[in-house]
Amino acid sequence: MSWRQLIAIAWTDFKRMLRRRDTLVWLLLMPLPYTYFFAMAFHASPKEKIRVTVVAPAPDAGSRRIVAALEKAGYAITVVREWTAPKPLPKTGFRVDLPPRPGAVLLGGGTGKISVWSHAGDLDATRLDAVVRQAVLGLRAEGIARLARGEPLTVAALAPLSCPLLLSRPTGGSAGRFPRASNR
Amino acid sequence: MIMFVMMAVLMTGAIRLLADREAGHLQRMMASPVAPSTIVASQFVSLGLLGLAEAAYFLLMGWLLFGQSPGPHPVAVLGVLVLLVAAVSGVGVILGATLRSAKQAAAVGLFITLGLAALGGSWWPLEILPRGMKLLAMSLPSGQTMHALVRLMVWGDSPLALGGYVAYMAAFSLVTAAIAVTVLRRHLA
Repeated sequence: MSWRQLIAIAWTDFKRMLRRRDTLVWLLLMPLPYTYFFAMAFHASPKEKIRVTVVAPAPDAGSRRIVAALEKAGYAITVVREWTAPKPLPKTGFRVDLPPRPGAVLLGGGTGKISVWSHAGDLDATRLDAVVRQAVLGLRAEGIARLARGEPLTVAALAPLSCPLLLSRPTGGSAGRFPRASNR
Repeated sequence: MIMFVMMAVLMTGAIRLLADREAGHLQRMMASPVAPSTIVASQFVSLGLLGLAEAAYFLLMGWLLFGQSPGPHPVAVLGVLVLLVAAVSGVGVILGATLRSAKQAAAVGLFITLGLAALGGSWWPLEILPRGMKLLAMSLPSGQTMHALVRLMVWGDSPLALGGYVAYMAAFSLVTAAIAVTVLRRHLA
């Protein structure tokens, strides 16, 4: 077998294929709209913000911090005092119900329930759920830090710390790490 | 990217090979002083070049249009794409050698490409699939390649962790290449 002849034949065939108009259409033009539409389908476009309606019956510093965390995470937030729509979900996006005065609940150790409303199986809801949990945990951590410093712990004090707790969510793992159905 | 690389090799490449067979180009080359093994090997290389050109086009477009970086291991990403092209080149040669017309090659090539792409996770994230479908995806070269690219480009895994992938794709390439050589030689004889 001659390598020189092999490369010459292969290169000639390759050039012949590239000269065909249908090859160019399939290989160069078709991928562009496909890639764009797939990116749109999986929300790869950073321009589109997901809408979240936050129902805060009695807002306080705690609810403002949770809303700020959602806005920082890239959601388009609308805050309402009560939910009056006939259906449990808005036309687009999600709904998050906060308890009355969540800041006081966090500081006082009372009971409060945060509900993240979504359609079943919506993957975006998982991220929203994580962002809300992250915000609440961040507030709790700030409260603990203030207590440790001997600072007065009031609802009004729930302003961002000068050195806030930073949380990161790095990706990583090894092969075959798709979540099992039972874990979802 | 994986789907279009497979499409380049399985559909466009098989059509070209069939067109050459129909026009008698391969038979005329067999009558020349070029060794038959050189002619057979050149068919693999030409399909591989087409697949690699498509992969390079996608990497370039991804970078220009979406700012997509190949990640911390660009050479390993290139190696994964070379293995994908090697694996599907054999299948492309088999199609080009066994089918009877360019129309057949277009239909069968497209069917196989779309099937491998969908089942291998090119159309939707493998994470949302049930366990059985995940296992099926990981048994296909498209699913293996998708997983390897995600590990390199998204998770930033070390290329050394892809030993299983390399072994799978090398074995798949060898088996399909052996079948393709046998089939093509029989048709050229």
